[in-house]
Amino acid sequence: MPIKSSVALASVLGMFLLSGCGAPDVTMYEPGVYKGKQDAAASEEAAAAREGPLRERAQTSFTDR
Amino acid sequence: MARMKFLCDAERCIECQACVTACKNEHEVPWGVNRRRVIVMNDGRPGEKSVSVACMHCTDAPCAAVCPVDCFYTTADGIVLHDKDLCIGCGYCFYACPFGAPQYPQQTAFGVRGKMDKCTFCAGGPEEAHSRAELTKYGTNRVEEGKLPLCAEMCSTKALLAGDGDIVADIFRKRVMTRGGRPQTWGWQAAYGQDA
Repeated sequence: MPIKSSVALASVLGMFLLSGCGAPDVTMYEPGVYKGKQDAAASEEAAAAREGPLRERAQTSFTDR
Repeated sequence: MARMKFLCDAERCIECQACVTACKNEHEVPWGVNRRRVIVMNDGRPGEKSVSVACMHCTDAPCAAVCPVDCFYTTADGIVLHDKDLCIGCGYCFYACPFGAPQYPQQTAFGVRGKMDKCTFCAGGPEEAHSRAELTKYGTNRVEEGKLPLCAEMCSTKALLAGDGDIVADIFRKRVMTRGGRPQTWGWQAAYGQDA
């Protein structure tokens, strides 16, 4: 009987110690959020920078002469 | 902020397939993959119309909504792009897309059909601009050079328009007012919804 209680105590202690193992920075899955590499050209600054040239290009390319 | 859109003027498209050829040549798209195709409606019957179709870069892109690995992103000016390194080739985006835009290099089962490929609006992908990796995976990056998609720029009848939605709509509106008839902005309602 004393052996059984010591085994139980050791098991509880072991489980308690093991629960502290593992990486603390667990990555949780966020659905619908882009997971790939960041594209610098996707930013608002980049889009604003190319807006003018693209607008001018469209005006000259597609209007009927 | 500009909002990039495609518009194909069905009254002007002559089904020459030059947009398809230009796209394949510019981006070195492999055999079996067509980022752009010309669809003929009422073929051989009165009222036959042709429309050039590719990814419309939807406002609320259904491909991005169903992607299990979340490899899609939208640029600030509305271009829908994806990361091929994340893509698992599941094909969900193909089933979700109302335009049949997503393409696969192999016609085989789940997991072995290869990475999804689609129109990038000639804006490359999430690799360094003009790098070898970007060219190989996504094709050339014309937008970064201040140019619009080649398919639209070289369209001989100017049927295919690309660029800021306001400018594209303005050009199309003027055409319709000049020639009369009903405006048929094919695919705009499906792609842009309220934004159309």
